[in-house]
Amino acid sequence: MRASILFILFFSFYSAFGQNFTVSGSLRDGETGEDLIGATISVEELPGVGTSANAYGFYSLTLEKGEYTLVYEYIGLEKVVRKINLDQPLEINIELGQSSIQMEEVVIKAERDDANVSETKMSVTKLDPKDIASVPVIFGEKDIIKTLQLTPGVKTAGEGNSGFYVRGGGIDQNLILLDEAPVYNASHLLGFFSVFNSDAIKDVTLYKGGIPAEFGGRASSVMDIKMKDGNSKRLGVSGGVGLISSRLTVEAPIVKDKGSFMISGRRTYADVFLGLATNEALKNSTLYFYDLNAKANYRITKKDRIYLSGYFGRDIFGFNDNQFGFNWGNTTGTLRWNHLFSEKLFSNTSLIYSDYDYKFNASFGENASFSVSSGIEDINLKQDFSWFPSPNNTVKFGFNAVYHTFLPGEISSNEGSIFNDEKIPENYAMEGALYIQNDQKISDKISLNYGIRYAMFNQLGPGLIKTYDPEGTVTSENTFGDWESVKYYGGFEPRASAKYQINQNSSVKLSFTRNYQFVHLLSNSTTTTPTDVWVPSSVNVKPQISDQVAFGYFRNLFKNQYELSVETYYKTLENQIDYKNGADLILNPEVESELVFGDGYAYGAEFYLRKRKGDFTGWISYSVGRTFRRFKEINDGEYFPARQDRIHDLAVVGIYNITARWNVSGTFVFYTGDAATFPSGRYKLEGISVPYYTERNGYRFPNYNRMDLGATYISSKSDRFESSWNLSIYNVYGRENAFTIDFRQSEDNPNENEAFQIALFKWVPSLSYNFKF
Amino acid sequence: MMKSVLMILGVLLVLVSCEKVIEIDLNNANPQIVVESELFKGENKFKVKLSYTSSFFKEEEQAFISDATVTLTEVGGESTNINYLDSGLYVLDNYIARDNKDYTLDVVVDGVTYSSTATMPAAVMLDSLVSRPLDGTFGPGDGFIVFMYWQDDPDVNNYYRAIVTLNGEELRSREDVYILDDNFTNGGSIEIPLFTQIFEQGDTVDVNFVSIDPKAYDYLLTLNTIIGNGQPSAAPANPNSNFSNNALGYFALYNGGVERVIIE
Repeated sequence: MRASILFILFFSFYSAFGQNFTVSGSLRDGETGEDLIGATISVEELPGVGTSANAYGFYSLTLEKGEYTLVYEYIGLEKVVRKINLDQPLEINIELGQSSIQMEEVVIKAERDDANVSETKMSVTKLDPKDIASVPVIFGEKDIIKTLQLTPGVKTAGEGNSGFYVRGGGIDQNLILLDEAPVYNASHLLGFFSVFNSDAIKDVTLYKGGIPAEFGGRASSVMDIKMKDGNSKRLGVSGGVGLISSRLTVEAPIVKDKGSFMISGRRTYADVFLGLATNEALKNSTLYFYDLNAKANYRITKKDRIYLSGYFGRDIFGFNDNQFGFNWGNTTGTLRWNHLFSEKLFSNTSLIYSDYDYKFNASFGENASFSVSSGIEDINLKQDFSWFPSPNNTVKFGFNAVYHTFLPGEISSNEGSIFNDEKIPENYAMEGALYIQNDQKISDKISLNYGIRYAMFNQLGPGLIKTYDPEGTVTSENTFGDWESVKYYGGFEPRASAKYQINQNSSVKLSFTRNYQFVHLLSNSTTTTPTDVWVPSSVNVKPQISDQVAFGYFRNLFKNQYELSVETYYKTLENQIDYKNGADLILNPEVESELVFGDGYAYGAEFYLRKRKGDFTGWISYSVGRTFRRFKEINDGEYFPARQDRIHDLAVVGIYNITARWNVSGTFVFYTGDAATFPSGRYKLEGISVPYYTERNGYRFPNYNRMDLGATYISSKSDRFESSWNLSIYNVYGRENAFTIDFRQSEDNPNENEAFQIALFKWVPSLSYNFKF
Repeated sequence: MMKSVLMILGVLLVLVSCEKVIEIDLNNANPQIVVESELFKGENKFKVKLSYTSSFFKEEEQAFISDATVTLTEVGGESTNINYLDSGLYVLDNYIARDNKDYTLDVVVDGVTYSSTATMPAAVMLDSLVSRPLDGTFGPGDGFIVFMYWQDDPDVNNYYRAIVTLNGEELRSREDVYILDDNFTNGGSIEIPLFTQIFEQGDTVDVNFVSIDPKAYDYLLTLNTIIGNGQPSAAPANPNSNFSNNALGYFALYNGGVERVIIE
């Protein structure tokens, strides 16, 4: 029964009315030649009929033979109107020019003024790096992830941290894609910076729910980040100099209008301040990170285009002339081939590489030094098709296959060292998926996006595979050969969203998403650290599964000047992972025996009001929600709040353009303190005062609040050159928000204990100079 | 060591961070039994200390348990009742603990039996103790570091503890819980500094270097995570007790010997 309904939905668009022809082509920015992702094409004669450009700027619209007026629109750009006589297939490539009317500086990009209401998608946040330029952030380093943390349902992992939680899920439950390549550790410098240099970023979309079937692999969200293609019209240079880092981006055509490249670099120099340290060891230390993004694209023929993009980033840390050294980073590479099989069938083939690794070395003297390395590497082949059978249907289908190599850890030491060389054997796995989805308009009021994804995972040999009982004792040992299947997991992931348009200004939407997650991050600390280990699903570790239902009400007010949305969600989580007490997660060949497995759930509501136009723009975002976990071995098997169970989370962002040259901005953030485990008693052992714990996460940190202010002054602006100064102050009123809370013997009275907190970042001012020509 | 790196990164943050004492309202948990007992191989005084947990912040007299029935049994051998002395201590003079034997400690309080059994581990003796002046390798300042040398047994998983006596006074503060395993050094000729202490000229240092049974090792390892040694945990929990019925504390079996160095 269910299958036949799907069949009808999929094929209902085959009904033919007379003779149809297709108009297709690509949409680009007239100034830079960048593809206009999501630009809209509407037909004046047929209200409600239209389409939008895909991730590569391609569009395809099939209509009955006739004369039409097509309207091409993209926010911030002048719209283009074309009269066509559709009596044969047409290819129309359009370049949209800069609008003569200055549009709002800060917008969260929307394809159409009313996209929020009219699209089927829900639980989606889009950002354009241009939009966030004037939102104040710590160290003046504009950061897409930190701006997303100010939107509903997204919570920061901690003060100044670029790790984030989506709708009660964990940090590792977010799939972060940079030009389709997964980024396994998106943090620099213990999380105070994200690895995404916003100069190199074109577009960011975060899916918190109602995730389309083309994405999968993580339980909570997908963050889809696309790099700039590079200016295909002329040479462009932009950059910035700040107190803590500098950036430079160069983009230029390879052959005008046929191909272009972009290369962007960033490096921090925080360690120059170490030279001021009085401590010799600190003085001889290094600490910096760099990012390099590069991308090139070329149109080989009218129907074929290739893209090559890569990211290289690393944190380098050395203490006291490398007595301790530590470096970590990601490398990604994506080779893509766009091919147009017909004006209705668009194909993209991607070959993707991703690698994360860390290396650590220490020296305690002549024969006591060693180095440790660990990492994960992916090779991924991905094929996606977009098929545009009729204006009311857009079908996407495809597959991908990933080969994972996990290097849990390797110690190597110099000759004569007391440390043994040891290598924990690599783990291997294949991960794959097949999907099909359709974006379908049923009527003026109802539209659907539905699809199904089959996700599979196969743990592979070679290796000695052990199984464990709940106590962590080995119950079986089996040796597997190369490519031999050790354990297979697979499952269907239904995805569906529906929209009902109440009137022109309001709609309600409903969605369901199921996600399997086959790789898991083990982290025993309160923040993301470089030594966190990714482990695959295996005979001992089952895949995480999440199911989410979300319902929302969307309304635009005052001619789309204001956007209002209310969303609620309920999410269940299966096969969640936690650790045994005292678990040793680093360099442990039997790390799977240290894990415990349980379940969880989360629910909440998100309120969002945004002013999108005018001299004053900004938003208020308020989320209320709970998230719980349950493990047999922890907290007597009772549900306990997860660390990120912040009940209330409020963010207010405002940007005001005073004059054409001056703008000021401010943000205010308030959230409930993290759930934490504090002692409920103490005792003496060997004369040492030892804390006594009763329940997991039974206490809370104090509530958090903070205000940041920023100002931007455009010092020169002409057609050829533009420059600006940006001043921002993080934590203006210097609130000491608890970063850690710990306990110790009171200095005044050794028999009493006291609690103390450490706060980071009181008033962090930063100044940067940015230019573009 | 990973921790030291993170700590050093932390140092940089400390440059901008600030610390203050805060008020936190903690619940008072129901008192729980705490057992502390160490059995050294050979003929020694065997002590068991029994107390209750108290509230976390407040100054309170430690609540001792004086009416428990405490029995030490050599498995397959004799059981001995241990009499109460004072301050929560139950003491057995001149008890002989032997190699390769299992021992059970039973504590009965208010009709509930808390029981733990462990095996006397095999001893691994130190070959030598050597003191070396700090020459800037481990940080600034004067003083001496003591290195321990021994040969690890390749055939077994070894767990060690070093209990230091400095100028006749046994060091038992929270920084002195110094334990090691041979996970990365199995079978090697080991040279490891006593990280816990910097010594001065003229100090007499006695190191009681003992093998310790794995369960007690696990207890001390998990203890270290909550008293500020070792890897700090995001979700602290009570140490893994080796007693039944959720008693806190440990019954540890030690086997080894004392080596002395005089710093000059």
